[in-house]
Amino acid sequence: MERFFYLQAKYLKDFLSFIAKNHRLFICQAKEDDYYYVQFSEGLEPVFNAYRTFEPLKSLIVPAKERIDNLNPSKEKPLAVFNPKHCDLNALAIQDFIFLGQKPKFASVEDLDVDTSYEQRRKNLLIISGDCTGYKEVCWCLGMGLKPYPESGYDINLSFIDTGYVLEFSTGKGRLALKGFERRMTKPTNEQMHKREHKRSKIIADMQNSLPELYPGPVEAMQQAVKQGFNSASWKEFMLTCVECGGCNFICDTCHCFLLSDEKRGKENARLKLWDACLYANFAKVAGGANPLDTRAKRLRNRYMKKFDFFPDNLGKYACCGCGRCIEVCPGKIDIRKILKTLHNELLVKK
Amino acid sequence: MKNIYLPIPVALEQIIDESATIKTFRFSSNDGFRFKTGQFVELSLPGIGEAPFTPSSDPNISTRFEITIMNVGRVTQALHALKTPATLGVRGPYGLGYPLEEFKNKQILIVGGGVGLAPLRSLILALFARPADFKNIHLRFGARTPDDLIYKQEIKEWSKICDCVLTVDKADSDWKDNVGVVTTILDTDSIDLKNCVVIVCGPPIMMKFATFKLLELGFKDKQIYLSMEKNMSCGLGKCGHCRIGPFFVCREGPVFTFDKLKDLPEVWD
Repeated sequence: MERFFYLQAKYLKDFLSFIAKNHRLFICQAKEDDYYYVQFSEGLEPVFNAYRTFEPLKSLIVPAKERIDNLNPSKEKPLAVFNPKHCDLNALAIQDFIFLGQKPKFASVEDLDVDTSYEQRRKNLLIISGDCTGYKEVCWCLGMGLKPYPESGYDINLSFIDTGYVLEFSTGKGRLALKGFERRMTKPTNEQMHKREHKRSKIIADMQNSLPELYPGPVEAMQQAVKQGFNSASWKEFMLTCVECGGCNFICDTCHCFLLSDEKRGKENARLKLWDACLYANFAKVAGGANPLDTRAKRLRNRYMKKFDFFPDNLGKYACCGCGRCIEVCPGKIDIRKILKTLHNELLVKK
Repeated sequence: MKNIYLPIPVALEQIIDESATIKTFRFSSNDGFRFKTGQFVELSLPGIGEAPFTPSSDPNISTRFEITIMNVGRVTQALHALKTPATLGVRGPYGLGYPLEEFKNKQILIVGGGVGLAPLRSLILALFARPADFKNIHLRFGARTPDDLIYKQEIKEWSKICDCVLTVDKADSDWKDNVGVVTTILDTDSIDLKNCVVIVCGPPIMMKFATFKLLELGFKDKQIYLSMEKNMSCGLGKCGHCRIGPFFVCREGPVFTFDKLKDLPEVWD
């Protein structure tokens, strides 16, 4: 079976309409210099977003607020998402690890609980990813060892090359979703495939040129830098401008924390699942009054310990994909790259 | 489709006053709800909220279970205002509980403070249920005042079958036992350090100083079992609130031997 096809740009809308027949399809729309997900409808002009969306991909699978006591995702139309980027796909591995109950290294039990709603949506999710054709100032995936084009985790990937797209099938689910549409596509020429490679090298080179100053240190040393920096005086400096808005948590693609909330709706009792933020003052507070994360510095540090120590320990993977959303959203201009760079420099001094 | 975030209904049968701020709630468990001692549950009031508690009753009793609750927060306040009969929700049990097999044929020192006696009561009853396996039990309990000491009648019974020392931070005129924090009644006079375990449960500050004292007395890290009190919200290792170091306390705890915790810089935070 052919893995690669060529899709002319003028057929992109037909391509999306075809997918939308059997899926709740989300595509991007541009607003100023950001892209936002909207549900596809025939009236919308398709946009091939140059870089990742404003909101994280997780928000399509795990909504910020959802009533869960009457939920039945098996009755939902399968979800499809058009053009998430490599950072988002990489971050889904973190959500999968938590909600699909994959075994952490430090877990002493084998039989882990599965969030069946997540599982159902995730299983049916059709991912049509795309190569980045541009980047934002805050994009630093290269610093996290990721490339600006997907390497895994997609069903179908599109690489934009001038007048159309090189389309790559990665899974049977992807092929099945486009069954009947193949005749609109052609076999890509060697030149088209070459263009794809050229574009990929070019975007890396462009990003590298803009990155060096903010490169936070070798990716393999990040866990050590954060861990050894536990008692660093810098946490207090970093948090000075934190206003505890939780924006960095809510916009983060890998953050998974939530709380369960009960409320009365008329005569009915409802249970809700809501995203929670570890930068909030009461995140870890217990009813007895003790609060293990009682200062902003501790809470900020906790966020980094979770992403750069807990996850590598338990999953063998950092819970950061370098998407830079937290940098963009922070009213206090707290920059994850600068924090990691400072901690890394402190580690070098210690050595 | 199974929904791990939803409770099953349980019938509240009886409420027993233990102190001015602590009550024991007795539930019938006809549907076969079972737990291992030291495991915790999420108890919920429909439409109001949910909170983690460790049952305080004998895990061998299959027809009912009890939870002893101090009135300290929003959910516990609503629980304390309840009248029987009522229907509540329960999820769990979660976590690993006390590893009774590791305690077998060893001296067992049990150190409790305040409402921390609740999970320990369940442990003590589980130990008493197997007298051939667990002979040498020593109890060391502390409370702020004599009025704050719970399970007074039962403690009297327990004192008849095992060595029991009580202390309060602040005594009244009727108090005949020790006065001082719980560390003042910890010693190794009747303990064989080579063949013992010590189980500690109480407020965080008490756990910290009890652990320091026990280490000073010569107990090894691996002999000290601590019940970590964290904000366990989902109980499933998903919501993220109870993380300490590489562990989710709800899943890898809530009982840890100190050797697993001692190198975590945030252990006493």
